[in-house]
Amino acid sequence: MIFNNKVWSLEVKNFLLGNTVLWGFVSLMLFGLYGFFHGNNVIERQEQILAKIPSVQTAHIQTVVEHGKGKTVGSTAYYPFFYTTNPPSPWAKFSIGQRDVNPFNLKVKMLGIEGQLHDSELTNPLTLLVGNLDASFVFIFLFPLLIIAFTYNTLSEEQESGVWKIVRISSSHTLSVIARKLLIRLAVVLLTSAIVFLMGMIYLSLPFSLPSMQLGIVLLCYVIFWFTLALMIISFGKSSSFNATVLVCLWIFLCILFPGIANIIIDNKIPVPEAQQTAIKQREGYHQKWDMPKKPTMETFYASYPEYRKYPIPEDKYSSGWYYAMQYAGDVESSESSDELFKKLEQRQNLSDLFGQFNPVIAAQQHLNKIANTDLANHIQYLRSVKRHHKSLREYFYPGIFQETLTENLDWNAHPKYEPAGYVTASLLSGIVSMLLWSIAIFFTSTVLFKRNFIHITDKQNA
Amino acid sequence: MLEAKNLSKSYGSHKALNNLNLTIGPGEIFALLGQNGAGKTTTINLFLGFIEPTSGIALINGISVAENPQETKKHLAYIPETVMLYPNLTGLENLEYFSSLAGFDYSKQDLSELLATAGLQNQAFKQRLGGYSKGMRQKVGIAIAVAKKAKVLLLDEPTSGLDPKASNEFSEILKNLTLHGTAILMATHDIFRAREVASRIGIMNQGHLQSVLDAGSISANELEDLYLKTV
Repeated sequence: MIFNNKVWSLEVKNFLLGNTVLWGFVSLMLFGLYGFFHGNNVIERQEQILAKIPSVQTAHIQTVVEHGKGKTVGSTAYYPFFYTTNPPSPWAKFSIGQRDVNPFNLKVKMLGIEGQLHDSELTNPLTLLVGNLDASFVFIFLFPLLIIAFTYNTLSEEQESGVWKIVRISSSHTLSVIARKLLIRLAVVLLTSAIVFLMGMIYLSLPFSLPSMQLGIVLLCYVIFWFTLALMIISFGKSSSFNATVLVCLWIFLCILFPGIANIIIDNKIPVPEAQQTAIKQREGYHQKWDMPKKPTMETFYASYPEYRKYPIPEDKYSSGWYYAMQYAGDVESSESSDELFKKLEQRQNLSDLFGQFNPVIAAQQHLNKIANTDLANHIQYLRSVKRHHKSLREYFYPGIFQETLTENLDWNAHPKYEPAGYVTASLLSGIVSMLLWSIAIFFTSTVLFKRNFIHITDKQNA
Repeated sequence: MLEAKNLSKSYGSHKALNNLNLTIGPGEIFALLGQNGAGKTTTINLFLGFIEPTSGIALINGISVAENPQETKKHLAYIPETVMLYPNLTGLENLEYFSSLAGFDYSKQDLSELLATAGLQNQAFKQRLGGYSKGMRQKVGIAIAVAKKAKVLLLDEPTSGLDPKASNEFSEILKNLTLHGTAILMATHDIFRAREVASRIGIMNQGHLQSVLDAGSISANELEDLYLKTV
């Protein structure tokens, strides 16, 4: 309708001239900029460290080989570190996830792997509470507040001041008046998020590709979820202060309490003493062997590597072959608890995915981290690849060790190079579906409540 | 045009309006006098459809307000005691917004004329309403009501906040509207103006319509005496 054009433009003008809009928009921009700066900073520092690794590795091996001249490979192989890296995806700057908690590079020796894998912190592998003020923090935690600020008094303020009476009498389509006011707010919220998101794309130089689009889709669903939640609270037809209080309480619950409780439940339900246990078992498995007959240790080793049975291992004195076989046996003895640990870390991830079905805040955060490859799953994948790399390193050096080759006769630079695991494309379906289902359910509840509380005659005095 | 049949409204045991029977025809102005709490505003809110009657029926153009509030609203215009509008918009924009909501498409010229007729000074048209005095807002409210060209006008102490000159102009606007067949129900404390502008005057006390008088047959002093005796 032509008349409606005027109503639309005046409604937009009326909303934009309110003092919360500019204030909210500007502060979100500023927080957004800081988030990009912070994310960029953290990941750039990691990239700088990772960039130094190849030259450090080469120099390190060179030094070790220099010192080892004249000695056997078995003696020299004890010393060098071999570096592995978990380079960040381009989207890690957007959502740092657990990259600041979990190690992004690990150096491993030829010794037992288990103790080395968990040399780093593993006390709280699933930090559902976000600790970094990165771009994902701005979207997950601050955008809901913007939505609350834009919507909580949409209708209640007009009821409180008395304009609403004139509005109700002027239009016979009260529901469309309400819809118009809310659509304008939704449009401003979406526009703000689009601007902040595009700013992020440019600032963080995110590629225009599927993962970037996935980030956008998750954020869109998340913003819509919070908007419908605000709709539902408004639809109760209560006062502005009631709406603001309830919405802020919901924000605290969904963003802070729920993830905190979920974290405690996960910690209690799936405890991971295995990291410590594995390290202890591996160390015990290894240390005890010094005082034990060499034969059983060697049998453990031969079970996997029968080709070395032909090399003699003296029972009464030290030999390199026995030493590395002993390291390996330690790993074998702790392998059960190691597998258990990986299984439990995966269980934790699954349980937190389940929690995400009930709380879009968790779902959105998880999906951003999934897309950015900065979640626990990515870390597990990294640890597994380090184990694989360690295996190929051992296997590269075993011949030299058992044949008692001299250090200078082995090509140390030809050792297997670590290949980072690479980007894993995230599947968003479950998270998106759950967020949308919540939004749709809440939206329909709200429309019923709007009709009941705003369209039908209300018996409130001074309605 | 406007009819109440045994219309009652109770809040718990308190009877805000008791068995009101009233008919206001086209071109008629009915003034309701009474103390605060006599039931004047309750009567108006029942016709507006803001509240539901406990018993009885309020009709506008023969349509029940309680059963079909969306329909009866189309025939209604309303000026409350304190007109509150959008403070971020100008007077002109407020008028444009509300008249467009009601489905009218006035030109800027028409809108300015409506505001001028309502007595708002020219220079205020394009100022933000937030800076208006109560009287100025009241005038915009009058313009909004007139712009709706409604068959029924409900006024709840519309002249409160208006200076005598503006009140006088408002009376003229009302008389002019009656010439076009508008039925007007006006709650007021202004005995003098009620006698001057209304065709009939009702005096209410504790939810009862105590007496109805023909405005032409009574002087202001007589009306005041009667009012004081009734309440």
